[in-house]
Amino acid sequence: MDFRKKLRYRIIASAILLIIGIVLNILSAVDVIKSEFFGILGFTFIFVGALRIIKTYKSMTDEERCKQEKIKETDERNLKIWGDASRFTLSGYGILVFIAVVVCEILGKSLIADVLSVSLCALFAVYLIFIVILSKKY
Amino acid sequence: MYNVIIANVKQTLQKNGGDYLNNKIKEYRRIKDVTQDDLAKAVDVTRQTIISLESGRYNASLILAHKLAVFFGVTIEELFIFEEEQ
Repeated sequence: MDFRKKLRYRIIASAILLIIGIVLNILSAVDVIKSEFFGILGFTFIFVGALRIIKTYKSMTDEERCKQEKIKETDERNLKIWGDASRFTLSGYGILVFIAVVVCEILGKSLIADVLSVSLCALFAVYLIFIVILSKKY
Repeated sequence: MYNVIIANVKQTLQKNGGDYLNNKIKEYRRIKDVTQDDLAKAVDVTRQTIISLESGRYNASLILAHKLAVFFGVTIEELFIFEEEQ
């Protein structure tokens, strides 16, 4: 995909995030949503969305910056680092959740243990689905 | 002594299933008198990737190896030396 097109999609996605943040904040302010959580979530969305729009817009308008950004995002060493980091994070997360399930069972917190077990199984199922999809792709 | 240790560390890092890949990027870069930054820009990677390639911490993909070989006007075999473990 053309990098500029990718940047345009990124601006649209960030704008959607920003709008969701504003809507969440309005709903929270007029007490349609009672939970404080959604108000904070809205602020986070506004902050992240605005920041990404500014950053992406700067890259789109400045040719040199756009080129540097493209190199940074397509650099094969960076891609390997990001891929490896994701892999290690996922493995670490899986192990931690498994330990948490065992600890919760020992402590008699069966409900938490069940929720964690299901999330771990779901994670593994998604992993297997991606293995199948990527095996067909390559 | 220090050089021997560094060479051993590099060889260990580059080893991949008993085989290892060495490269002459630094030598060819000096012959052509180009900076790491210029080379990075020419082959569309970051300067850090060139540093990692030269120090042997990272092995280039076939596409990058091809781009580098074209840039230096040599073959991939001349730029990258594949050594099988004895």
